Amino acid sequence: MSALIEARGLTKHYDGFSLEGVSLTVNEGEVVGFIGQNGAGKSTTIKALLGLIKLDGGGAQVLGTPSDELSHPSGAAVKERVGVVFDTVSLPGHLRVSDVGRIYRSAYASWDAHAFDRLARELGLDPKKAVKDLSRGMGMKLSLACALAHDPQVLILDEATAGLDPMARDEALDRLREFVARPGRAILMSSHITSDLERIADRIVCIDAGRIVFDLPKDVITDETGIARCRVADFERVAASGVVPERELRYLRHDYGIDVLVPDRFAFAENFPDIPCDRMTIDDYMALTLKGGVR
Amino acid sequence: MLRAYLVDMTVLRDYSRALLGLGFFVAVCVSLGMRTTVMAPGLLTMMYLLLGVSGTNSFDDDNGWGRLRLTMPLSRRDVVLARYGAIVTLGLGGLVAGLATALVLAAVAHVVPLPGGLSPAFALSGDALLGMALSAGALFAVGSLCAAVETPLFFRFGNTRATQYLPLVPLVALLCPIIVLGGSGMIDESTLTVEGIAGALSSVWSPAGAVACLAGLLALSAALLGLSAALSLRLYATREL
Repeated sequence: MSALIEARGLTKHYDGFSLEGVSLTVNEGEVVGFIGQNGAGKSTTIKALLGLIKLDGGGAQVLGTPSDELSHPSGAAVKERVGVVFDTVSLPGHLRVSDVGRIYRSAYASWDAHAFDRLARELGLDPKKAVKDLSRGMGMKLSLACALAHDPQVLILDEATAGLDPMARDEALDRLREFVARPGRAILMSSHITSDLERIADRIVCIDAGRIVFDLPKDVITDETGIARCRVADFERVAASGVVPERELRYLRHDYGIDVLVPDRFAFAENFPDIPCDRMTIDDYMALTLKGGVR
Repeated sequence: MLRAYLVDMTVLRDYSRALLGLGFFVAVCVSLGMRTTVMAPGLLTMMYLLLGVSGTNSFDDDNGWGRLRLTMPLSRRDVVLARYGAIVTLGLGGLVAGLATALVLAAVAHVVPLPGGLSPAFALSGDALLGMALSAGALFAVGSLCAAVETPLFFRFGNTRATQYLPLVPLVALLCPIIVLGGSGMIDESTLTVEGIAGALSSVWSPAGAVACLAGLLALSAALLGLSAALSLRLYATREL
């Protein structure tokens, strides 16, 4: 597998926030979910990948081109093969949907006007409607249609499914699955809607306070690990058992008990059949990792 | 660069249409008020250049459009040069709108006797055309000067912050040089007499003189916009979006 997106030690300092040595890769055929709390550094990382900000350290490549060249004449052509959706509809409000198609047709040599018209029709976008009159969900559909209609090789999506209703999210995820099924393609997708990532992502990268805190195959999180719902006495028993290696016992206290991160939920269930152990969700894994304690 | 220019012009399409209507209205009012159409093309050229600067740049911050545009296969250089192209296009649009207004008013004045003796004032004589050419050239240069000062501000600060500084531009670009040059004695005030100005005008008041003057004014405008574009390129290269 070759890396279509690669970041190594991205560092960027702002007043009150720093991106500290962020590294991630998105390989061919992969959908990488990029998660983290608000202000954790997801959008900054995406901007760095796209060459929109100047880095203080590290470097990134998209489709083999250094990100800092993407805004230069030497690297701009690579962006023909990159589709981008930001977390807001980043188009002047007065433009009509048909005008947006014209803009993209002017900008991209590979723009497929028929594909855009078809996508717009299928997504229920009225060509005469102005961007400012679109709901957030419809605006995101328009952004997705734009990102897909120039036949990109890589999609970089920043909260692209935010604001979509469940049906529209299903539809969007289906299209993303179709997209990545073709050879030579990949998606980096930041999202707070982790249920979307559970359905589509191959790998989950989590960032917190400007640092990557985990980078794991999604199946490891959702299929192998589990969340044990312990009472205090159970927790002590689990800790003493050594089933979970010492100093790797992650837990989160609630009013009603203690959640424990279990690396192998099947082995745990064999050892502690009396302690309920649920399938892990990405949300739970993130909460245990970011907010939980370690014993 | 052509791609970026076409993108800019598509964004500006509705704005340009609105300016066209406004331009005709202003041109008619100016012509009626001044009892001549000579100034209309020049005034509209300058007006469109100034509105072009603020209009084109205002869209960049609209919903983060400037950021999305840079994810398209365009370089920062494309964006900057296309912006100057779009501003000059709007200025030339103003020239065309002003000339069209003058032609329409001349035609109307020819067919219908206008009150207050306006019909002969709106006739397009050789002198009127010469005056139009010279005033348009001069006002194009003034508009270019303002565009040249303002546009780098937008590329450096973005629309919101740049707009806060815009009122200073006429002061910096026009008044300060006059005050400094006049006050320091670098300009010989004896040349700024009515007779002196009339003498200068008479030297260009011929087809050959007008062509030379226009060439000078256009070269000056091109130089101002070129220097400004070079500055904008440097400023926009480091702008974080």
